[in-house]
Amino acid sequence: MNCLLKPPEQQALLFRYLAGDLTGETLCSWQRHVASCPDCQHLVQSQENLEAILSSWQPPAISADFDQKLWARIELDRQHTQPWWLRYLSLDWGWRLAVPAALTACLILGFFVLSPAPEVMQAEDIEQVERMLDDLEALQALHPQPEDPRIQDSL
Amino acid sequence: MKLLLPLILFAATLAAQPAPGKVLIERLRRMTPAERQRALARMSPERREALERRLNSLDRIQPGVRDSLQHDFESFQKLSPQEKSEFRRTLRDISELPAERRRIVRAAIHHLRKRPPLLHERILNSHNFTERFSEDERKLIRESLRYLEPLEATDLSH
Repeated sequence: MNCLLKPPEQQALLFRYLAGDLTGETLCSWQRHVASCPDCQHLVQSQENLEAILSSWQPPAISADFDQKLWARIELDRQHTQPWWLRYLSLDWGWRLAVPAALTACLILGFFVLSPAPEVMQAEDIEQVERMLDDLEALQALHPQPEDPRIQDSL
Repeated sequence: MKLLLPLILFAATLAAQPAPGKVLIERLRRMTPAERQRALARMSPERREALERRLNSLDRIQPGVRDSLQHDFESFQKLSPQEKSEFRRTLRDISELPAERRRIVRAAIHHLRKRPPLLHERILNSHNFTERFSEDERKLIRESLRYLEPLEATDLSH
């Protein structure tokens, strides 16, 4: 006897039958065939058993803190698989922006404060130096040295 | 840690401000000639030479004078902007006196700074002073003494 399921393209009939999609003449032909084909009877029986098992299966009840535990476990797993700097950077978006900003600020600090001499002084700084030298020299002039004896005599 | 970023940015902002003149002068004085030349590259050669001469002259100040000058300068920095402006005007007026009078007026200021401040007016109004200094000169001396702190009276014989 020729089994209806032998051509691969016909195997979909089994699933359509189990799903209740077959109607009319197709359904009658399929039922007649199954009644006379031990292989197909076995397949149908197996699929029906499987569906019965799946439909009777109930997932175990989860605890109230299941989500928290799951995320903690995922995080723990991630920490063990990622390098420290990647974990550090992926804490939140704020840090991803803060780290380059802080590094830039450190560079600016290093340049303006820690560097012993700037490459080229700004015009504003030079003017400030000159003004300060003006003050220093004006004050220095009030410190005569050595004191002129003639001046001392006149005082 | 999130507070660190604003602090760093604030410090960077401060660092970006022009450094105080005193710090800049000290920095220039510590530089090698090559570093100084590079730092002052934006200046014209004449202006740079003049500035370098002035900086070098600071190194030639005698140690005793340097200490009291530093003290005067620190006191000057503490004056209000208006007081600084007035004092600068007085110092400029003194510098515009004829050379001989300028030296004597400056010496008089130096001399009076070694005297107790309570005696300043009496000395300024004394016959000896009124005979040797004009009204304007005494005014300049008086104005200067207003802003200068007394010097240590190491020599009261004068």
